[in-house]
Amino acid sequence: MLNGIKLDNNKVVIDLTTLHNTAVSEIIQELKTIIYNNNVDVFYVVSNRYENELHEFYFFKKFVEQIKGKFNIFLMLKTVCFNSTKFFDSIFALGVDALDLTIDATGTDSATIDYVTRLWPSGTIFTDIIGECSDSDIKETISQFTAKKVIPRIMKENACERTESSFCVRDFIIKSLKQNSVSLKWVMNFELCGIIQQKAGQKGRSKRKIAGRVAFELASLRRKLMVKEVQSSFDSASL
Amino acid sequence: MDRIEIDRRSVYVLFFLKYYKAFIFVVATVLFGFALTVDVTAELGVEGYKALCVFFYCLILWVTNALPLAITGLLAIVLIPTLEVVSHKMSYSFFGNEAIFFILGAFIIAAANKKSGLSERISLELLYRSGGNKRRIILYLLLFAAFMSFLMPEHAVAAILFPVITDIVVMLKLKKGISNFGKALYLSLAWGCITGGVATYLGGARNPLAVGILQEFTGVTIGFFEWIRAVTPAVLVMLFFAYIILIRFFKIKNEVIPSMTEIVKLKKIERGRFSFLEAKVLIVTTLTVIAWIAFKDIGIANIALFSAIMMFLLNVIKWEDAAKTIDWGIIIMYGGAISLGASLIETKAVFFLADKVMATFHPTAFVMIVLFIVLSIWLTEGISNSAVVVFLLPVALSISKTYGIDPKLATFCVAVPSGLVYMLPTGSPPNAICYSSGFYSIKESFQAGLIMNLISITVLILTAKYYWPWIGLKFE
Repeated sequence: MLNGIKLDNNKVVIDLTTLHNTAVSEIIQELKTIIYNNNVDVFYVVSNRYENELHEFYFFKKFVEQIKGKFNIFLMLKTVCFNSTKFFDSIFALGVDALDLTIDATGTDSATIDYVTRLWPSGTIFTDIIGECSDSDIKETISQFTAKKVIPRIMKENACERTESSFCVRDFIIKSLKQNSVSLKWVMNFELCGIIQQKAGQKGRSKRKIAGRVAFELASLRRKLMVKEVQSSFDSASL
Repeated sequence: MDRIEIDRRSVYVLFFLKYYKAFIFVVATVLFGFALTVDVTAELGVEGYKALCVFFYCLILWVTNALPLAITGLLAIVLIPTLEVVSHKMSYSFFGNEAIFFILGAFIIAAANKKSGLSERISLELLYRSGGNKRRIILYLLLFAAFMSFLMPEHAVAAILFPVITDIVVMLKLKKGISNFGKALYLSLAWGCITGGVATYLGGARNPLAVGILQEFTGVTIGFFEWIRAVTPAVLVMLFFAYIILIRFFKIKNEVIPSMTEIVKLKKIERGRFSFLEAKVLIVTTLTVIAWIAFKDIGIANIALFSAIMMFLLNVIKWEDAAKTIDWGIIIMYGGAISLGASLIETKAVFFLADKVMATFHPTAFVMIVLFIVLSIWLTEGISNSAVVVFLLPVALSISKTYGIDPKLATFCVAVPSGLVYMLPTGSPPNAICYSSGFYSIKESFQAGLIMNLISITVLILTAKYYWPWIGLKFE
């Protein structure tokens, strides 16, 4: 397996920061092999090097275009919360289905968060919570993010290792998301947020697959309707 | 990064805007299905009723463009025998109408003209001879576009002349949306094509379609020269008024543009000497037109196809060139329309429809003629001009039989105004092509076109009242 690509349950983690010197065709070939041999639902792409670096962005763009064109698979991007609506417009148009944002703790990203949560379908914006140790701290952080329609991801490898109380945290997140009318269909049907995913295990796998596929196709249609390239707008006027 | 825009409107609104045609299709199909279950009056008969259902169903699809025109044409051909309106054999045999093959031949002749560059050469020569006088350029362009549309499809003429006009506009540095001369230039091209397109069979495929329907309905046909003789006087009058409106509406002064002659001269040099290829096309086209006038017994479709074959034999074009120009969608659409019209006649459904119209309104023959003209000219602004012919002509022919109106006159009253789309850019391809220049707004096109529409209605009514009876086409 290429350095920078890792299989994690039904998810393939692709670190473009490591792979940026590798040819896109080589990465695609590797992914083809993985998909052929495993049951993969999600591509989790990590890339933080493209803002103001056109070359990096074009590499990323080419990669996403190829990946969406060849696999038609759910794609989640881990990225810094850039203060650029144009950047998020572009990656939304490219076909990124969900975001895992690295959010600045000082709260300067509010406007961007508000922007992306309105642009992507409800329940597809995530952020990782790390370093919160006490129950009250973690609950407060969860409440803050869910109020902004962002789903907190508390993974098993969380610094606090709160595995024993994870059920309690999971229930709190779900309750909080429901209170803020954030859709749970994505986290229930895809391998996006480990802690919540455990709850979804109660549902039948085939049922989840169908529900996930329907949600995925509807989200693709939504994107197709919302995105207008300048050239296509001109063409649509029959001019 | 890409130049993309995100549409922020509700997804439901976007979905409707994107797929409203699908909604129309579903609603029309449900209504069609429901209509088929309704009990039929004995007067109309089961086949006649089903034929009318298919007719209105296809009409809705044609008018709204809910399906591509050609696909609706195919649907008509499929539905007629499936619903046992007429037999399979008969339904498909309607597609073998002469008009369909004439259209095929006309497309190939147009492809040869375009490839040889003959039409472009003639247009440059014409502009050169205008001497750079603004009003004369408008007049020459109007007349030349009209004359070219006598011989080839109007949209092909617009496509050939559009780049020539654009080059001139660029060289003269005319500004989009500001230059009145630029606006008048593009509109004169559009109006010339549209007005000239109704004068012969060749200008628009709706003309042979109308003759095809006439032939299926009555067994009589209209000769190439007969059509020209009936329509050309009205076309000339309309061209005269088009010229007056253009120079008045856009305030074109009688002045000379000094650089104009030089610009066109340069383009003429670029074009090179008159080639052997152009000579071959000129000879074949001339002989074709002569044959259409002098040997009409051979049949216009036969002559057109023979001419098309000559273009291949003389190595003017290759099949690949012709295939690029032949619009199979138009041919299939017309095939469907003719099949539909013929099935209405076969089941006598169209007579039933016409009887109902007359029983409701009791108009005189002249009022009916006025009604056909006015309806056609307004309907064609919103819907495809062929759809107007398909919808109105069978009814008009049926009514004309009762009123003693010459069926040829009824055909002219529907076919000619259905080609005169002066107001909206969406109404016909020449309008759309010229509007794409960005020189004039829809408002300007609408205002000038409205005046032209009213004049056209008046000219056609007067032609129907005085000129057509004078050449033997009676209505009372």
